[in-house]
Amino acid sequence: MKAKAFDRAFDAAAHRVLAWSGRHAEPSNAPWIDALRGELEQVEGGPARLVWALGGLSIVCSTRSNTLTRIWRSLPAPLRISAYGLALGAVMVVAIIWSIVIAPSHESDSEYAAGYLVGYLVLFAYFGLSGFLVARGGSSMGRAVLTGAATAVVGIGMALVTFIIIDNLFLDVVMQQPDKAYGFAHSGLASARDYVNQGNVLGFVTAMPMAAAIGAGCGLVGGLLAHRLGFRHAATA
Amino acid sequence: MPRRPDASPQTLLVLAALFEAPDAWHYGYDLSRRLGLRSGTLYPILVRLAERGCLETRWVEAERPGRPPRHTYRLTAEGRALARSRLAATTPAHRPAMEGWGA
Repeated sequence: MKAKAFDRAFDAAAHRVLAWSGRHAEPSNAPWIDALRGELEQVEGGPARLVWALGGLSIVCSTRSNTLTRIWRSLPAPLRISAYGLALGAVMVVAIIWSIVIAPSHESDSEYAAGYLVGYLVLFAYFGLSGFLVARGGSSMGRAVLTGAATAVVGIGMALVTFIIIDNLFLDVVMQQPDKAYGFAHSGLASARDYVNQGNVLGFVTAMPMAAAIGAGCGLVGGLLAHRLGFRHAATA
Repeated sequence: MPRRPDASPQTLLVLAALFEAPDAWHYGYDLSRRLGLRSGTLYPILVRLAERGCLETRWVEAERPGRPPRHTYRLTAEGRALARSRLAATTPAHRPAMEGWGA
């Protein structure tokens, strides 16, 4: 008696799962939920029926994932190439605002040499990862190199622009950094604003070509790694 | 130029099972039991194959009245060609799993 009650409960849950899946599946996939429902009658035992019905969730999830893929592929190529850089830039903007405005440090940069080294290695690995992911998706090696370069240029560019804005908006806070104060004192410039802007412009002009070259190199390494691991162009079915 | 979309071991199993009796119509539950695949694995594969025109589908009335109709499947000509090429390219490591399924 108890076993039958359990079976009925599982059976009811299975039907609810399929009903939910039917409501949330893309209209074109609704027949597949009906297909699962049709086979449900063949499955014996409440728990097994519930497991069978869970296939409806897989159809819902896989079609959602396909939708996201279609949206991604419909984006303009420059935006897709820059996406990894935009994500990196967003993280760096938050980190910069946090470290300069919200929780400013009053120690010299040399105190954090090891941290900076790790940070650069992570950045290079991220540039390489962007190339790897693009090549893994079947794109050419040239696209992997381009994506690595774009990731670096967009990400670093967003960080440098943030520095320019923050340095001008929060000049008094920025000038409390020992390295900035020391540099300004020995710069011969009349104002702290001129000093930080000169440094930022110089940094922008020199860093961007370097970022592009390093990003391209890392993207190439990532692309080669992807091809080495067997992610090659393939004919679609 | 995406990754090979129909080269997973599970997809190869499904292709092999359908290719074994290419003219017959196959039920989803029977395929699931024969291949040891859960519905959550089997049906997304069937959906993809159908979307690519590799799978023909048909509804049949249930044997017992009052029961919902059942969905059945068989490979199209394109699906057979795909199965032939994919199964021919199957690595030796995967062959034991395909034995008995037309590979």
